[in-house]
Amino acid sequence: MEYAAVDVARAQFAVTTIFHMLWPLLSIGLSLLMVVMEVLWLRTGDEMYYRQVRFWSILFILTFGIGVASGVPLEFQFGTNWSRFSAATGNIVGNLLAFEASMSFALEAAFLAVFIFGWNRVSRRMHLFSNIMVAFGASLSAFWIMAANSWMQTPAGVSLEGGKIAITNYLQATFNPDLPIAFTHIWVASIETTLFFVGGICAWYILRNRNVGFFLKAFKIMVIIGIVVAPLQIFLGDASGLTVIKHQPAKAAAMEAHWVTNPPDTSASWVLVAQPDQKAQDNSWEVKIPYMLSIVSTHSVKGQVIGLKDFPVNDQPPVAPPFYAFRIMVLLGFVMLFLVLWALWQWYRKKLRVESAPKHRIFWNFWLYAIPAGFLATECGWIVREVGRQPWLVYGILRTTEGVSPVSTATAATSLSLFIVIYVLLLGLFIYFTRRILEKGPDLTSPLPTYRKLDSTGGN
Amino acid sequence: MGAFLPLLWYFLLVVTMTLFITLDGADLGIGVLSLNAGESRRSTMLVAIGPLWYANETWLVVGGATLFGAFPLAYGVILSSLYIPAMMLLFGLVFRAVSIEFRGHSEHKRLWGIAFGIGCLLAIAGQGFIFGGLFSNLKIEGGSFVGGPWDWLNLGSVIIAMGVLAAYAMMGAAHLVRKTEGAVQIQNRRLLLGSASIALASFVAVIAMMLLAYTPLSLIWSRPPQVYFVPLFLLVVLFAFIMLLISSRDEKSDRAPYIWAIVVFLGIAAATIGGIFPYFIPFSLSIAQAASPQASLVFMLFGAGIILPIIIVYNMYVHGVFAGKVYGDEAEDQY
Repeated sequence: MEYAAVDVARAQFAVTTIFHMLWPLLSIGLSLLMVVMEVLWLRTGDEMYYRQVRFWSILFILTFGIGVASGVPLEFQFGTNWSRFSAATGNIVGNLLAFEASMSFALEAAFLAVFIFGWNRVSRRMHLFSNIMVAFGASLSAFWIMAANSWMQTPAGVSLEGGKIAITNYLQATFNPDLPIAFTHIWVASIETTLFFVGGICAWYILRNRNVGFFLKAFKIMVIIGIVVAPLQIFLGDASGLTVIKHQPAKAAAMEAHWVTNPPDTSASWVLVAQPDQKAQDNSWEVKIPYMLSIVSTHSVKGQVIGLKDFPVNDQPPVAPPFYAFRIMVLLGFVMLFLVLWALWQWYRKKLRVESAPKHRIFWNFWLYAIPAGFLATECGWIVREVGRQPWLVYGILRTTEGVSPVSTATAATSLSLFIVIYVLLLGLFIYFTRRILEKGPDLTSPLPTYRKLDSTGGN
Repeated sequence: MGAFLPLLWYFLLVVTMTLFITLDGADLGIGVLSLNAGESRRSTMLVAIGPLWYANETWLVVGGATLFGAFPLAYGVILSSLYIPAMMLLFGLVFRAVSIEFRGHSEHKRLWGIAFGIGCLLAIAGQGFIFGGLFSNLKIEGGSFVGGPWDWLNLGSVIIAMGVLAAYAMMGAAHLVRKTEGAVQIQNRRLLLGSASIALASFVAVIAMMLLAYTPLSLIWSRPPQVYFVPLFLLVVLFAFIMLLISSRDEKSDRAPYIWAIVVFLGIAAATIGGIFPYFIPFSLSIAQAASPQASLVFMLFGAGIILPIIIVYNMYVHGVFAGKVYGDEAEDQY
């Protein structure tokens, strides 16, 4: 009975985080894009940049709203469904979440009001400042959330005193080994995901021969950012993998379906695709590339890579989810790089011109259908990260089964079902309303902001 | 130093939660009041909430995280034992947030307006029952909840929840009086009087029930400091209520009703918190028992504690940017 309750709690956390994750990706990326656009507007005076800020911020506020709506249940879910975990680790995880709430979320939420609604109420400088605060708040939020999650992956600054988790060094715990790469990787993922979201929307318009100049401009900015971000993310992925191998060898083995440690002075093969069989502690079938695992994992041909069988069965994560998710994520990472390179090539071949761009339908369709790429890659990455950490909540210290609340399975199953229904509905509504926003198109005619300073009566 | 930090954090938590229920309580209250309004009045009401509800909701986020970090045992016990009301609050807030967003983009403004109102109602009900549930003598053993999923539902918590609903409606109406004019404002004044009276009546009923049914509470209240403190605050509440009655009928005072509503609200909150001190969860978990270790509280003070005044300052600035009366569909131009 206890076992079943844990599974429901896990499923609920998975559903709520997978849904929530979609929105901060866009909040972080779009908020940065809007700073870029507003700076360009203020520096060049080109009205088109102002229209870009206004247009993309409509999508921004929509995603921000759903992000907040889905984020609050996460914050409180540690208490409702993981009360034992909360009691045991609150003094570090709760701390870091409090930093997130007070340092970043509060900042973002307050200045959002000025940024979205205050165009005619504050000065130029104040408005840009508000924009920057929103972007800063969004990115800083990611930092603190990743700090909390990273501590669960590589719990530093900790000692077990009488079965209780005691934090001996708060700075070490916060700036634990996993944090730098984890934060950077998700932050760049936000930028890359937004890039393809925006790029895909540009493609949508160009395919319909609407506002071609407007969206080509945005698209080119995406390509420039993409030249940096797409290869960078692959590099960061590699660095991420190295961290996992060093600090979470069981997860590393599971995500590669690598069962047997290769003896010294031999190489480990990389399993490209396989059917893992956890009971048999082997793969039913596999396609392998010799030497590659040693090379990828240790950057040397004869590097030793620990196999999953080195760990007791009770300490092993499930293999299939992290294994497949990892492959999908990596594949998508390379697909996104390819699309950026293709766009660069089109640009070089002068095919991104207002007159001729809509003709290249295959190219734009690829970008249009690539909209989900970053989202899917990120969710897969999280599946690797979190499922690969099982059976631990805090790696090596607290098991998932030990952290769950004494809430009945029936109660938890009810809330889980409600979350699923409501979130599916919300996702559908988001797509519906985004379509409406796109159909309506950018507003190119309403008056420019009047930028008034706050006077004593306020108001309009 | 031993007892100081938990008390300091308790105080900070109370401040945060009070800011939440005062600021966002008004927003939620307006949402509930809007259920009974026609479409154009509803639009005005939603504009009166304005773009500030995100900032106001952040106090809940800050408060919840503060509870988690400074009093993790209480955080876990309260939320897991009051699971159903907690879910009501969470789902209510989800509905509230998305409804106000989607309404701006949709042709079906009435539908989303009602969804917004229902979301607010659900969120208030959740808070009311969490609050009421805390006074339901929850079965806690060895730092864990050992009761059932419906323990929070009883006559006392129902009355408390109704009182909370009335109190939020009162805050909402007071906020509307401040932000509107003319005939709309007169209607809001009437709403203010009505909801304030219900709130006070519930409060009195609850106190009577508590004193009669709750021996531990009457024991605490008959000893210092509560024996001075609680009646004092009850007098403050009564005085503020009378002032609220007077100012809401005075056509010239726009701000005064809001101020008095806040005083009534804070007076009730102070009487309650002071009334159960030093317990966190009456009467099974004390503040000291629930607190994180000292080192954690110090660490949190640097990261979160010193930030709180800064948040208050920039929130005051943002409120200032949006001060003043609202007329109809002012905010619609954003979409």
